[in-house]
Amino acid sequence: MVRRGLSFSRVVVGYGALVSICGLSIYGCTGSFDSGGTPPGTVPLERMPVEDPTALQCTISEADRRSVGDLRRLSHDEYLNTLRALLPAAALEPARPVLALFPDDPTAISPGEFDPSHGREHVDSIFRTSTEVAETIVADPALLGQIAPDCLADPSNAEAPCVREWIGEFGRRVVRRPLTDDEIDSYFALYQTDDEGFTDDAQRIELVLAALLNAPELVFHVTSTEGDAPRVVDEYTLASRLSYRTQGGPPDDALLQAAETGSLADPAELRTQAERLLDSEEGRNFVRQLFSRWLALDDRPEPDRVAIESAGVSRDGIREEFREEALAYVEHVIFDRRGSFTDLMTDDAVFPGTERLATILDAEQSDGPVSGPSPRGLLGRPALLTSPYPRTNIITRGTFVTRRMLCRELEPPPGVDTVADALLEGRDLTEMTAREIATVSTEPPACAECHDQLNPPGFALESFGPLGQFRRQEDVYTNEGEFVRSLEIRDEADLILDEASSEVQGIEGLGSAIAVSEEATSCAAVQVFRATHLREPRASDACHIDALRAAVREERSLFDVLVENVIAEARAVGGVN
Amino acid sequence: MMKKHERLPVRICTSSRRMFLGALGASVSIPLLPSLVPEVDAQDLDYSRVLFAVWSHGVYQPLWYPTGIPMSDVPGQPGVRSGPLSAGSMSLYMDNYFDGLLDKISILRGISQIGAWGHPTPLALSCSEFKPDKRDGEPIVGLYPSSIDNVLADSSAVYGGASPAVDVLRLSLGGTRFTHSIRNFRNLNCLDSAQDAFDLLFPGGVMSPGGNEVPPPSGPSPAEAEARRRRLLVDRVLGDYQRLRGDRRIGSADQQLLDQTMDHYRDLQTGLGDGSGGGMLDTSLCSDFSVANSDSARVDDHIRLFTQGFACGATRIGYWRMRSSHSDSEGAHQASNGANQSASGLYTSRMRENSRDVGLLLRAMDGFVEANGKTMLDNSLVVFCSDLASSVYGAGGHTGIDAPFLVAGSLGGKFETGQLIDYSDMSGDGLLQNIRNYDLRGGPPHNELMISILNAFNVPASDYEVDGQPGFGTYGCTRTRECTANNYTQGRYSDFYQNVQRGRRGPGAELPFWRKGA
Repeated sequence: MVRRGLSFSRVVVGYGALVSICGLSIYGCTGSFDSGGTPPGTVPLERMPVEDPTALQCTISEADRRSVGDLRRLSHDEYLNTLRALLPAAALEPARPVLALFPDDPTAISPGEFDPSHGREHVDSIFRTSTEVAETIVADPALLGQIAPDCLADPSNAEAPCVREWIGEFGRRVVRRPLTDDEIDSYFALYQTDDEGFTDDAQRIELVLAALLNAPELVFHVTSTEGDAPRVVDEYTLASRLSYRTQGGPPDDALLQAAETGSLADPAELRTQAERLLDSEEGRNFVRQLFSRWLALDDRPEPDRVAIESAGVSRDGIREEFREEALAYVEHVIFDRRGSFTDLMTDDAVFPGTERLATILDAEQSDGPVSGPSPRGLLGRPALLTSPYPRTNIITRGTFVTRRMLCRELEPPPGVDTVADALLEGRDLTEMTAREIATVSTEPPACAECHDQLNPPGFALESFGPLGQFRRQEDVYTNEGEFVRSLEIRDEADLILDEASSEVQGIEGLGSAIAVSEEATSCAAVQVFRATHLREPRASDACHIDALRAAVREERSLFDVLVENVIAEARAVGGVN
Repeated sequence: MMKKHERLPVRICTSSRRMFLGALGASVSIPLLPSLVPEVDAQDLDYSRVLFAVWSHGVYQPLWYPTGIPMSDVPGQPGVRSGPLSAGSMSLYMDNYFDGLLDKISILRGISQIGAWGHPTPLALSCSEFKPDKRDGEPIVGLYPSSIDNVLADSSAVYGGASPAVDVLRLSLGGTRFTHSIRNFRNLNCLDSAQDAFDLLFPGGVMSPGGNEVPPPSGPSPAEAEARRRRLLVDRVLGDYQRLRGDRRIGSADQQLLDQTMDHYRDLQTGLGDGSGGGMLDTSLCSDFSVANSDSARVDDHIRLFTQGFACGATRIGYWRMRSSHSDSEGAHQASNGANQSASGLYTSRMRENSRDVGLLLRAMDGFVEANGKTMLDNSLVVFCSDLASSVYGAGGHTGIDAPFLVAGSLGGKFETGQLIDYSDMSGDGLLQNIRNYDLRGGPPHNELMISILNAFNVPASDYEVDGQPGFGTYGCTRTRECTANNYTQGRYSDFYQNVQRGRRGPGAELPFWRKGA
């Protein structure tokens, strides 16, 4: 399929790449839009996969919803954030080369892409980092003083009570709960080793520090439970989940203190803590990471050379600028506006922080948000509209909306090859709009079955050029950048949403329709869950998803939705009253 | 009755300790006990030993050489570049097995095994899996010199008139099927049984002390101490994982996740060694020493035999045949010959095991401080090498270009350590070849490496030149038909023969920079 498309591209100069993408994107409609939870079977509920997570309904019993969740490793970002919270920055600096060995995670959330186990490279990095950092810290009294009491200032001459005190205090931050007496004894016994590899107490402190930095409860999310109720998580686990799902890092002292006093069992206190953590620099960074994954921002293509030149802007760094602009928009809606999902889809703010962005966004250059000529919403960000070809790519844009905003997972069709070559053969593509090319090349019924869903969102975005710049007409260029002609733009579209067809006009119509659709609001709930939990929702998460979906549909602010993400989970695992 | 040096891989020493010391120039006349060691003039003893650790079938070079090392020209040595080895740059094959020892090893790049065809290097080098008396069913004739381990063993410069317990201790991790080292056209098989080797080294369970006895070291060497500390750390972490694994909160699926992580920590542990190198060697125990003699303990046993044999003066030359890639049951031979690409992962695993074991050997040697104040590794030279350069799948045959050499120890300061040394741009006799997008660049012939070693041991040219042909290297053909039909100068193997002639080197041809000439 790909080969044939590329072959055609060599024939029709200037448009082949466009057609080849059409070929790539012709999917069969094997996705499910209305399936509910998987029927009960022998698989425990907490591990039962669901075919369509957006359709989960909170109808499971109270006992079953109290899944304690799974063990999973810290993600790349979580691990770095955790080390940054635990250790002085100067101690991490020498370890940068070995920290860099910790593999990156998938840049976009897609089902099944995050492996919850530590691979060899993870362990190598963790181990090497631990020894490097421990050596650095113990060798520098100033650094040691930042993680240990004053009595440990001279580690080669430490008193036993001081070492025990340090183990207890630092260990509490490492494993995110108080160490038991047995655990403190165990680490102290390690400190007391008489192995002849150790010649002084400083080396023994180094050993204990390195051991703590390798602790499984540091590098894994482990659920602790209370008493004899195995499905009720304890407050420290609750605190941990709260912080990792609002800041992507470990609990701070205030949160651990709240856990210690038992106040997190009070939903009001839990909400207060969640709001405090989310409304912070770390919280903002976390939300940026969340949306980067949701929108696959790191996977966006480089703009095409001809598109760049015809827009009169420079190319270097433009993809990164686009990415930042999109994230600035998200941050603005969630934190500054306390906007809802509808606001996210329809707000008119743009961030023309550079001359280049100002040109593309058709706005005065500004360090902060300004109102654009017309509402763009989330889907109007240049980062999401960029085409790697001279012309817009309707099918790619439509696929993005379908997968990322509606959570429709479509499989490539078995045995269906592109017929685009034949359908377009003999036509002068310079006389056809991108919309016409997409329509003709996906016209056969076998293609249309899916493209009736995929193409319309792309049609509605046709008022934006291949760099995301607003346009009133489609300027056609060759691959060499030679202007050919201008064609009329049409951006109306027949959208299929919630299993019904509705006509929308342009990006405003598209954004508004998506914002209130059941599909998109369910999808938003699932995407928040995926991006914060790094796994697919399961049957036991039904009530969690239900709560998130309700929050989105009730037009609560997305800030509140993210807080609800924590509250709903706490309820589900029995951590709050 | 067998004659000296015939067929036996090792030879029982019947000489007294005094004879051995006398040959080394030491002057002690009383039974040597640890407490009396100060009476020995340590400077008079020769602590130089050499050990060849050899595997078969070469490497896929991109997985062997370190990456990211800043290289610079070596002043006064055109075409030679070097850069310091660093932990983060080590390759997949070497991983972290040499961590803590990087200042004591060098990796040589761009050396060609001249005359490469089949597995030819027994003609000059101990790095061999070649069986010299038969190949393809026909007897091989030709003028074979001894391989370098035997040249050293026979040279008066090494043992002189002394008779050590064994002149070359040859041990094998991979069975005894192949010949690994030749002397006067003869096979000299290796031993894989630690007990057999022990019986030869320690007849009657007692080792005749060899002269290097020193008091047990007061503590581990820095490298060993570091290994011990890290080992203890990994033990602790594994214990933590084990405790969590047994927690009632952890279900079976989660246990599997933890098991996977623990496996990775165990890999680390293996790479670190057991940290017992220093403690293992105690020359006061030369008469009270045993081996476990089990398959599972074979690596440890062999390391113990080599290091204790060196320490006690039972031998000064070692040959360690690493796990072979020849066994088709393991698929690695197929991988190396291109027949089974999917087995390349196994080949990589086998290479990593070999690196790990050599790393353990080096740690053990570095954990022993000898009477001259240097570690056994500093006093010795270990050559970790293969009989081919590159025959890993897709290589298109058995080539000798850009052969892998990791050399450890400095033989008492005679060799440069801590460096990646690239000889690719020296004018040499090797050919250029591209294998799986990797450019093999031929530099000097490996004979220059051999000459460097022979010179470092002060072996005179007369001890390795054969039939009046100058220099050290390979001589002649490998099969009857080559010799008789073509007179070495025509046909398929003529180039091989002619390259062989070109590769021969005399005492003046040392590898610059690596050989310090001390």
